[in-house]
Amino acid sequence: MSQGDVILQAEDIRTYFPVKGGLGSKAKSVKAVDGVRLSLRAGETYGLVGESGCGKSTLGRTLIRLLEPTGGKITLFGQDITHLSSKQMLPFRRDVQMVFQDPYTSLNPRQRVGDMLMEVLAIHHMGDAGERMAKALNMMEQVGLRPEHFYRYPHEFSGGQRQRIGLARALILDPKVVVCDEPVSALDVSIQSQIINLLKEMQRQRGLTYLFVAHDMSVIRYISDRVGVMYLGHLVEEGETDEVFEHPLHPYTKTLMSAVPSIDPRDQHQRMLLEGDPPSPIDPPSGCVFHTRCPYAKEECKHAVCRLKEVRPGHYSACE
Amino acid sequence: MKYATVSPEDRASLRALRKSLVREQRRVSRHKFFRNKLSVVGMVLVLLMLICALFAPLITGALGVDPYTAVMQDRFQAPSLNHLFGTDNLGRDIFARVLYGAQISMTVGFTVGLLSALIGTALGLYASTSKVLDNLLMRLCDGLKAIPNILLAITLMAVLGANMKNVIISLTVVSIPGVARIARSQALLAREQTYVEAMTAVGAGKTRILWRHILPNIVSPIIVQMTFTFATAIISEASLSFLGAGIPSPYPSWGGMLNEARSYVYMGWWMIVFPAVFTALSVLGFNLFGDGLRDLIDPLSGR
Repeated sequence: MSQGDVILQAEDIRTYFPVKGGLGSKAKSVKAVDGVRLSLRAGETYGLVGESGCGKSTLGRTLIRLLEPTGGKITLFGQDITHLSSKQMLPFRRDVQMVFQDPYTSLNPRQRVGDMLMEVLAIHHMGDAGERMAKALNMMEQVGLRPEHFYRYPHEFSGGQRQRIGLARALILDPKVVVCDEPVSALDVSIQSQIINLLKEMQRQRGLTYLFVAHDMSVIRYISDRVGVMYLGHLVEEGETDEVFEHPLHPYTKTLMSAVPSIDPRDQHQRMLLEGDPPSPIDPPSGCVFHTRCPYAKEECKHAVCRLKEVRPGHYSACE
Repeated sequence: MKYATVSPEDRASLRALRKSLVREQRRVSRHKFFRNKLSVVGMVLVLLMLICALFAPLITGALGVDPYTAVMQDRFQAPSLNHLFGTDNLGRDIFARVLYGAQISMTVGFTVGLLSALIGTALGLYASTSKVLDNLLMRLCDGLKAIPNILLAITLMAVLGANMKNVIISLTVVSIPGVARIARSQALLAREQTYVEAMTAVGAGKTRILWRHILPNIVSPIIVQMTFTFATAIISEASLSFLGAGIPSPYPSWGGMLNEARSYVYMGWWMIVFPAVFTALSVLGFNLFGDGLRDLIDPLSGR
């Protein structure tokens, strides 16, 4: 697997959650992810941004099969994993891992850190007890934990340390792809940079591919090679990080960028404000999903179906 | 794949570290428990009842009394040095009968508590795994709960026949819904935590998650519930025996003794007071002990 090859590919992924209809009404579903095409290349960091509820976490979870996709196709190393059972999925679990947002609920409060890491290895029948212990200790050292933390319970750690434990759990299987679901948004700003640098360091050492989900634009810009912007379950723009940040094409991306505060007093940038709330993902608008709030919306946007088009080399947008 | 392994020295030092951590955690828990005076009182009462039950033959043997020997000329003797708690209408020693009664109460309490906790936990855990099973099991529990406990127990006893084994069976049936509901609600809460999702992400199967990750997180409230089940079972057994649907005479159940004493309240107060006091003290003891355990486990309740 050389740098730049596509590791994980998703085509037309849809993840719907059923919602109970009221009396007499038809059963509906929340269209959290509605037709997303995305590919991760070996060694890159793909940043996924969007406001709360736009489906970015759902997409991340679907890609590693924590959620069952309603439609579409996911391929990992060229193999279709879209509908594998949890047993068939087991060997692939080694290759795709996840770091979770909340370091307080993502660790079992009744399990010692070392026992948890050793259990992960035991699930995959790796090594004997002594080897598992050695590997767990080694992994803890790599993420900046000391051997005396081995038999501690999660509640004895700070938020940043817990996130290191979460990272150790994800990396102990030597995965190729790691989905980071807002791994720093629950942490103090001072701790955030430590964890981000640790993530970068691990990527450099192990050649990891990250899908980095976040809503903090500055974090995304710092860590990502490519960025995807999501709105209401759709990917509306995708491209190299600098390209997207410097020349946003989609109106939604433009408003997102204009919301990033600047510390340069001469930078008199125009703030674009959106009106209203995003529409309900139960009844997404027809045509372009953004037309209800788009400042440039025309009549045709209500009907025309917008797909990602390559507007500049490597820079895709659903709108021009 | 080949890995490095841990040297025996490193392993030994880690094991020592674990030991000292466990010792420290136990010390903190002990300290917290003993700081609460009421739970200590509860523990002492529980221990006292256990000693009575375990050493009943030894103690009565040493005093030369027996719970079953009726001595007609010794009927209605007031408490004295010969008969510490007096004698009953058949001339049997009440002290001996109360101690043997403790044996019955403790056996019933512990067996019912343990059995209902085990079965209730398993039911609750599995109810949390699927909607269909959940509806089935919980509606069954609702059905059981709709009938007053003691009535249900009496009905079961009437069907099964009056003996100790059946008392335990019917009280267990009555206690299971309470435990099952707690286990289910706690399991549903635990299931929503991200660590369950995280274990799925590393490849843990459903059974492993249920028994190794959800169960340890619901054990504490169930243990607390178990101490309360002990207390309830002791009272229920006494009630059943009082109503004549429990342990048949001549076995000295506290409830049965109260029933016999009922007719002779004016001739010998001691017949009714001692079994009643023992019943009350053991129930009080288990409740206080359970409260102490709950405070220990859940730092948010109480002070």
